[in-house]
Amino acid sequence: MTPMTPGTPKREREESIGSGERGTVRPPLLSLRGITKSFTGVTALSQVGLDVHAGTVHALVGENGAGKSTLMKVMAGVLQPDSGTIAVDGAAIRFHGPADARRRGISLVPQELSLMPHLSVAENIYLGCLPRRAGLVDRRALLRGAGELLERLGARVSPASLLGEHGPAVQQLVMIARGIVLDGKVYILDEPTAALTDPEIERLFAVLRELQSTGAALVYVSHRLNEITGLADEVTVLRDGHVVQHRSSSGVTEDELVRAMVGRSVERFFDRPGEPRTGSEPVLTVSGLTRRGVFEDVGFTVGAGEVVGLAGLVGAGRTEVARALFGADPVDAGEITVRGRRVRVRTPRDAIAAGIVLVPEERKSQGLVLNLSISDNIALPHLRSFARGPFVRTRRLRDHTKQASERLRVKAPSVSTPVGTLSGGNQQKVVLARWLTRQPALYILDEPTRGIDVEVKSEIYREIGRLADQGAGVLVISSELPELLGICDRILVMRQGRLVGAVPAHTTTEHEILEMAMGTGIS
Amino acid sequence: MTTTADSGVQSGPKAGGRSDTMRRARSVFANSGMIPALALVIVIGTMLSPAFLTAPNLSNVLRISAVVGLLAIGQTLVILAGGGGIDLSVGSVTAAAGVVGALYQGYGLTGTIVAALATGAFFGLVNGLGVTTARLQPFIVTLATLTIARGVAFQLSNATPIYVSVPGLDYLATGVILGIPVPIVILGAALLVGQLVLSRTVYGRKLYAMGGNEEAAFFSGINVNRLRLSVYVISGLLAGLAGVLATARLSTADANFGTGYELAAIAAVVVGGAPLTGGRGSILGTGVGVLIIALFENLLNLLNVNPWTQLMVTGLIVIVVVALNRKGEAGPDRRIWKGLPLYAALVAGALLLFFVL
Ligand SMILES: Nc1ncnc2c1ncn2[C@@H]1O[C@H](COP(=O)(O)OP(=O)(O)OP(=O)(O)O)[C@@H](O)[C@H]1O
Ligand SMILES: [Mg+2]
Repeated sequence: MTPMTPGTPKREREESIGSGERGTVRPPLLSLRGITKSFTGVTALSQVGLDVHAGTVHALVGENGAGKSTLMKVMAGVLQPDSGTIAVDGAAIRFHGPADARRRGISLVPQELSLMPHLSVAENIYLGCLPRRAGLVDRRALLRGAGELLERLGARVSPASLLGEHGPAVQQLVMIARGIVLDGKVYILDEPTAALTDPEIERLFAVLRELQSTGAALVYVSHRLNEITGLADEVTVLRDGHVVQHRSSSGVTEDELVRAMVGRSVERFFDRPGEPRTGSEPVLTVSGLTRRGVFEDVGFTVGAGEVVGLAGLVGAGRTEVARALFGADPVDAGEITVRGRRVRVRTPRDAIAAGIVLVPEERKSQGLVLNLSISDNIALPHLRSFARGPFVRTRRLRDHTKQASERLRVKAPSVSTPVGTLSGGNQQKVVLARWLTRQPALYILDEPTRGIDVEVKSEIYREIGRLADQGAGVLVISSELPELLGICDRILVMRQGRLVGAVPAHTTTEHEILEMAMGTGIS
Repeated sequence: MTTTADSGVQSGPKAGGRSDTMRRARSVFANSGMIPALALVIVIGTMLSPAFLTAPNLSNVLRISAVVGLLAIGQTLVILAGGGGIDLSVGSVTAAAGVVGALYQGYGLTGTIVAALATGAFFGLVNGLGVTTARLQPFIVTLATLTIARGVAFQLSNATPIYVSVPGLDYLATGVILGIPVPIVILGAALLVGQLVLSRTVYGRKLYAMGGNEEAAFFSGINVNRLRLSVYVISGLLAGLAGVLATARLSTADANFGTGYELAAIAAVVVGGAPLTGGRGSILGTGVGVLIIALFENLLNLLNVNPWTQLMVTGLIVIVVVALNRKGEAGPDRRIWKGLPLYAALVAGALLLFFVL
């Protein structure tokens, strides 16, 4: 297959293949033609065509807001297109809902977590298809099935535990498990790896390849382009709701993909000065921080102007430490000092007053008020500074938040748009934009680039560098090791609730960090 | 770094201050939702009864609805604040506040008013503490204070209405400012202040944020407990004020007063477009809700519909208006369509009730 020029209707190519030159060509498992979908004021998809073939992995890439999630929802019957046709196994079909699509073997793992925190992990996985015996839920089969599935995905959690007790990574794995619990023909996965670290991703890929080898088709979205080149057979690039390229993934480079996504070449770089920044004076000193059963005796410092990474596997306790520093969770022991002053943080309010801010890892539940506007969301912690007396100065607030969202290129009709209607990556940008205007002593960024496209990622790295240059300390948690290696001065590694190492980012390698994180000694 | 034309926040063709006010106007309209329903009630009323659209009638309706109106304003804040917020105690607290005010009539007008307001604020504080520090569910706490406040009212008044004669108090019932009866002025002022607080102040913004997503508000450094406490106190205070108005109108403080008013207030809020899940709604919407219900009941009175039928019809109105008002559904036609099974069930019930039995 050759790369196609933008705008070439794909249909011609399909027909030329289909018209018998190869004899018996099986129709694609899933085939979309001329799909158009608009929301009020936004055309999310326009004339999109796409084929998904048995036994292949079809990757979808594109910038934030390009329409990837919308397209996947159309494929899975969650959204009905305004126009266009969908065919399953060559027969045209109209889905009346996700259950409809699922009956035909098409299942979706959506981008945003949508689980029931008060139900068990197993029930969440089997929701809608609970195993039954004599009219009752067969608990034994339920737990066994869920346990096996989790085991395959490498999630070490009890299927009987409550879902709400687990962090986003485990929840993501549960979402994936739910997507593959029934045998299907087409599995659609929307950024399944955004919350995962390398070992889990490897496990996941092994599972996906297994599915592929049974003849199923996979549709896959990720902003981690290196995954695409490794996993996918075909790539479709979306830009502003149009298909701009469709090609085989063999031989494709990340740069080529980026150029197709953005429409021009983008210089990708990690913003780190040649010399490591050494924190002259510490902005944050933590010692003996303990939350029993979660993390023990954590102590470290972050210097002014220093970017410190916090690495570790899923469940190592990174997020929990961040939450404790921010006053979102109580601690049993430990001291926190900010700029030489001992502080007590019992609520986020205390932390913010002390000069610590947190960009939480869960944008939807902890970061955003979905039915409020971009503007209101950005201004939320700073309302006082836009007020005269009790009144909010609307004009000033709007101007300010407009600037902030432009800086991170939030793609939306205006800053009055409710954040709930933004694409996942654009929602993440709003969470980040919220804190960029303050000048706190310490930023804690928990997975700051989750779901953000390559171009804006660079912008965020630059922004992080700028914050450090202005004298703030930055503590970054990320499951992407190259990211940490690229932007940090120093990397702390956690394993099972303990700090097990601190290495200068300049001289270490991914391998070294992974070994520390997994606790496998150098043999 | 240059930005391409299509990156950044794209300004729509109508971006800027203008479209913002338009948007606000539209959202107020959408939230108060049933301005069309209000218009409909007025049109139908005018057609069915010549007495309906007359100044004395309207003024009378509004004067009487001032009490429920005040309760509905407090209820709006409580519901808006989210977290299952609801204040079932307001009707009883109105009665208790009236009785306590009456007991302090020896201290004159100020004594009466202060005592009533303090009573209201106290019950609000209890509700608020129960919900925040004690972490009880709002429904349960306020259900308990509903009973307690009613008991207090009966106990303090020995279950007999207390005659109240405080110089100046009747002004609150019969006085007129610029041709408008004082109770209506008070309700109007409360509505305006409430709307201003919600739409323009830091407090209002925080309230919407907390109602929309409490965790996100907490992570933004908002003191959610204090904020939540405050809405219950405000609701209690307004119930206290309602108690004063009721006492002024009736010249008595009656422990029986206000039974079921909490439900009337809640009905007004939901008819006004606020979902019980919080985070959405407006005081103007509530105002419209109060009007719709009050005018409709008045119309049924004018038409001499018997009180039991009135109860049924009022309930129906709440269901129909709220069903039409549901947000997040595509187009109004779809909403009507989806409401059909419900209406069919109601009609079937009516037929059974009146023609078969
Ligand atoms: N329910 C909705 N209402 C209004 N607009 C919407 C809605 N859902 C999506 N959109 C808009 O459609 C466009 C495409 O969104 P989509 O979620 O498909 O993007 P995406 O490619 O998945 O981006 P990301 O990489 O950030 O997840 C965006 O401009 C988004 O704002
Ligand atoms: Mg998406």
